[in-house]
Amino acid sequence: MKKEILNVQNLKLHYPISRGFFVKRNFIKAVDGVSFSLFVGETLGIVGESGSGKSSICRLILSLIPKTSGNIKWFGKDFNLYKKKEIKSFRKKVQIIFQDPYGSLDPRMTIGSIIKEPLGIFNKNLSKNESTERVIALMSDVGLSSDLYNRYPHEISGGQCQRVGIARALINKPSVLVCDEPVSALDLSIQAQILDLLDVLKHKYNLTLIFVSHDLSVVKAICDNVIVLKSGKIIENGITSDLFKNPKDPYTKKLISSVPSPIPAR
Amino acid sequence: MFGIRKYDNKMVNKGASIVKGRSLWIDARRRLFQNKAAVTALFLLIVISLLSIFGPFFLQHNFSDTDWGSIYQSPNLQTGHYLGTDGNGRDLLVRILYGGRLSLSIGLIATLVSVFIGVIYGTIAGYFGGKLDIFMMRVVEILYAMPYLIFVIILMVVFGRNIYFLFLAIGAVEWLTMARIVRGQTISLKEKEFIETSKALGQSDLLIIIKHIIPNLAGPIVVYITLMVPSVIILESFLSFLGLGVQEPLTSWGVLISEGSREMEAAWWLLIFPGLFMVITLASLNFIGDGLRDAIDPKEY
Repeated sequence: MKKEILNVQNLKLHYPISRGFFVKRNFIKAVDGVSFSLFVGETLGIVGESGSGKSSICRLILSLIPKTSGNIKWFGKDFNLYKKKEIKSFRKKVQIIFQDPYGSLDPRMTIGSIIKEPLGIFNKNLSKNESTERVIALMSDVGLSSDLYNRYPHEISGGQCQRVGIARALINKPSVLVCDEPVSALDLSIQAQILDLLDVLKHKYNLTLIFVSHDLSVVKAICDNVIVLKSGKIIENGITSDLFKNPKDPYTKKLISSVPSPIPAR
Repeated sequence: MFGIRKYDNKMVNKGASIVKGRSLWIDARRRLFQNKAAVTALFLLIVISLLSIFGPFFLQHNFSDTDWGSIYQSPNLQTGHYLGTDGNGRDLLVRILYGGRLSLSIGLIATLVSVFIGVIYGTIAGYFGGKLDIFMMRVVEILYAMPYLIFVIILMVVFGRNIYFLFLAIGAVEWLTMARIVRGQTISLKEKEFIETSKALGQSDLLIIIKHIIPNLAGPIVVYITLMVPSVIILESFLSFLGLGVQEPLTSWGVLISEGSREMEAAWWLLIFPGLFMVITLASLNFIGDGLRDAIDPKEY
């Protein structure tokens, strides 16, 4: 039996859209009763169209936004019971990469200091040279030349920015990496490079991945298990190969058939 | 897996040489010194400041001495009144330099105080948002609504007429706008993904404000400072005109200019020379502000 890292039960996120004393309160149900588990070493894919609540789930499980209701259990402990200190060490273990490669890097910081930032939070006694060495070692791991150390984000390409984001997420050696559409802002050949890189790093750092995407071909290639989302609800889940072979739900079928085939049908 | 393994480890120098890290502020200083207009302006500002501080020691006249033999004397090299005298026969150059001490220090201190308070107040209100933001901004609005002249008069009455309370009074008025500008910018900044990432990294709120929000606010802050210094200098002259600021025989640039403008038909130099000093100072501040704004933004280069 594999060890469970994350257990989510009936997670909900509702945004109020009308407010007032006499107006009936309406809600947008961004996430509406989602339950799933994540096991050590697996890659869990979350797919769905835009607005289906994929990114909201990412932010909720990292507690970057407050949830409406539901239970999140990280490492076997209810997140509501986490103390302040435990939350800090949790932040070290679970990291996130965002969709927009430029937007997730501070435009006023050099690449080196961006990657170094998490070291300053958790390893305060590290000397300046040691931390620089670690940054450069990691930069070579993610395929960035050390010449880029003193560059600014706007001076490098989107693919390189995403590598910087990955390096920053990995510098404190997390056990879980949440990727919120890490490649959807990049062009196809760069997408392939970044996915390859994630695959290599997953094995090198023994990572457990949550991979969010709207692109089914990407999910098919790298995920062990898949969750299909539609308007905040889980429609179908299962092992990737099974799900792609015999989709049960009509929505999943439609999604799968929407993937452009390399050989167009006549 | 995808068959493309483009990233080449051979190209990467594996930590063999330690790269020397540069920070934003070191880069910004280097960029500022490459900007000729900003360097010239900085030089002029330093010259004017040094003249105001040390100049009076080298001149033969005192700022309050009246020379009855030369009333309304035009600029004259022989008598030592290089920029002429005013209606009481006092040497204009010495008075300009003394006025400079006051105007520059008010411009500097009141601006720094209000920027300091405004930035802290604005970032806290904007960053934490919610009820705290609503409360803090209502306080700002209440203070805005208070007529500041009454506020200054009360200060003067309670604590006595003191130049430091003039600094305090001006600073207390000017930080309100700063707080509003900073709050607005902070609200738009905190939605950016790099702030969210920083939270996910486990960075504390205080360090997020110091490391990410304030450096990204630098542009608007610097621009607003260059607008604030002249308005502070002018505010001081207005308060002095009402008898709440500096008192005769002490003077400031604002006072000299307002006196000079009343006598400009009879004695042009009383308006031109103090005005010239003030214009050079303000223009320099503008160029320095522009240079700083560009220097702090890496995208400008």
